[in-house]
Amino acid sequence: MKRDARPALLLAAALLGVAVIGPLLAPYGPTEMFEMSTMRTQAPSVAHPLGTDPLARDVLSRLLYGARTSILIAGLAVSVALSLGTLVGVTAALGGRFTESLLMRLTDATLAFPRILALLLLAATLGPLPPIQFALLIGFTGWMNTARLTRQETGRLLATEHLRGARALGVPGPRLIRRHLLPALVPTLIAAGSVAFAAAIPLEAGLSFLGLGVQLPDPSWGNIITEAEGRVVRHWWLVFFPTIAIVATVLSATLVAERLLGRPEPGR
Amino acid sequence: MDGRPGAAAPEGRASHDTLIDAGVARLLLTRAGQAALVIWLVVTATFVLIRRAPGDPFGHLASDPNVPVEVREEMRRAFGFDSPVAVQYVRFLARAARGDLGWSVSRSAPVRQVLARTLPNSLLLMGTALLLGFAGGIALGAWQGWRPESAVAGFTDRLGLVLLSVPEFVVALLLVLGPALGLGLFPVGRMRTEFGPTGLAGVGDVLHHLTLPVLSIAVVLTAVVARHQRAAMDGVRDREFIRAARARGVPELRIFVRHALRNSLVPVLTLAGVVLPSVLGGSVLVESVFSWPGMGLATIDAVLSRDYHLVVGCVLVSTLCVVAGSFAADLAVLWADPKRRTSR
Repeated sequence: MKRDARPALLLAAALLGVAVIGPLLAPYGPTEMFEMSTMRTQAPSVAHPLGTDPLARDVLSRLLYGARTSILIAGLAVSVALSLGTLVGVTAALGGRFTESLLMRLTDATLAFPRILALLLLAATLGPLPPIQFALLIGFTGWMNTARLTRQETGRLLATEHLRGARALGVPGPRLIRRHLLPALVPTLIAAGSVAFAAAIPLEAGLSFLGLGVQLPDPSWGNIITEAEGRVVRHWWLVFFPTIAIVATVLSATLVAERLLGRPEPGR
Repeated sequence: MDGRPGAAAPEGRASHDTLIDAGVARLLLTRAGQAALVIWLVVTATFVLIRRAPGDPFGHLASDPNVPVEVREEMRRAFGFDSPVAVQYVRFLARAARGDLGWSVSRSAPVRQVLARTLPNSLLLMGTALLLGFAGGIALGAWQGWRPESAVAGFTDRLGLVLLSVPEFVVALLLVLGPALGLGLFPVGRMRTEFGPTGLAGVGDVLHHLTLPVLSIAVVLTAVVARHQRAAMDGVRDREFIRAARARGVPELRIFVRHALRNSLVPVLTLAGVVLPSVLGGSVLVESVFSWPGMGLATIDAVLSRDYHLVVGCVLVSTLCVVAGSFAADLAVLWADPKRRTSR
């Protein structure tokens, strides 16, 4: 099933582009409120292509600004998860039997706890967080998958002639890791990052949906949906459009991971 | 560990009826020990974390002007929440050892009673969803892998990729949007109609309420499972033992079920243990969307209202469920793959 990863990467890049320049495309401000008496929860129209929300704000603008928040949070969370995961995975693969068994048992133990419960507890304990800290929190709970993948791949790489040769030539440890091991891990890291990204987007959305993530009035894909709860039928556009955004993003990340790994990987 | 079918059986090679050997038994015991350690760590972390959260279980009293500050202080003392966390922890362990998980302030009932009321509802929801998701996913994925060129396989493969990208709570909201409120086909919220029918009609009523929450979890799970089952089937489809069975004239359906499916089941059974935490996590949000009176909803409520004892109780039982489920998945792998019953 190993197929070309380029179309998926292209879709991911396009979404990333939207996230970066989103605010420039937005017709209105993210918290700009129109006349409440006439403009609240209006169905999609020419002036407001994706409708307006209960506070008479433009949904398209909120979605575009929200894209920046949601994708930034997921991206930051992924870099934290990747760094931590690589640290644990590579240490486990290079360390002795005891280190390896200790680290991998720790990984299994952390994996056994539902991530959303951990985040629920942490978010409640730390109170309403600014997006950056919130992203760090998601990253701190998501390193385990990367740790597993990098340990596996490092184990495989250490047995290759390239690394055995480098070792035999007496390349010192730190240099071996920096110059020979880490560059060879890059494809695995891109795949692991995509898996982590595909998990981070729904987590951000879910927690913001519960009111524990990105705080109103700042928009994120999750909390735009919150404002629809209870009024979903007549105001379908408040659920439908953020859903499309979430699905497209997760889909592109899942595809990148699957094409690179050549197999599906359970990330969530 | 020579797994080639038809290879000469070395001494001590596992057959389908071999029970596990001492090595595997030891491995299972170690797993159980690790599981106990995991539960203890998680519960301890939760115990400390939730007490560090701003506010306390009597936050609602603070907003009531008719309740003097002294009353609130008195309540804190009565529950022992004014003691240092370490002291509270020792008291908690002593009580938990006797099976007492404390009193839920927000629900005015013993934590054990709250759990006994909500856990069966969650198990009903998650159990049904897991059953449907795995049965449907295995059937669908096996078919996709067996006939990869068929139109059905191509279409369901693409549909599945989209579906596994939707978070469960969004599926739940979309189901509320369409079939429930839009078409009025299903009730939204809670588990039974108030003052509704009892007896057999009551069971039907519960099933009616159960349909959409179960679908929210099962749809996504089916897509995930099918994807893995398909990949496993891809690896088995063109192997020699399949061709050999076909050459012997074994009926095609029998080859599919007895030879191909059984030999491609192991990765998906392993997956069961892996997805369990995420299914539980997804059901927390789904319960919240449908106000399903289960443990997920109780957990969210408990965390938000800082109901210390209930939070710890819920986390304890959730972790127990996940750990027990992974253990069951391990056993299922042993059942499906005789090669793993010996440690040699």
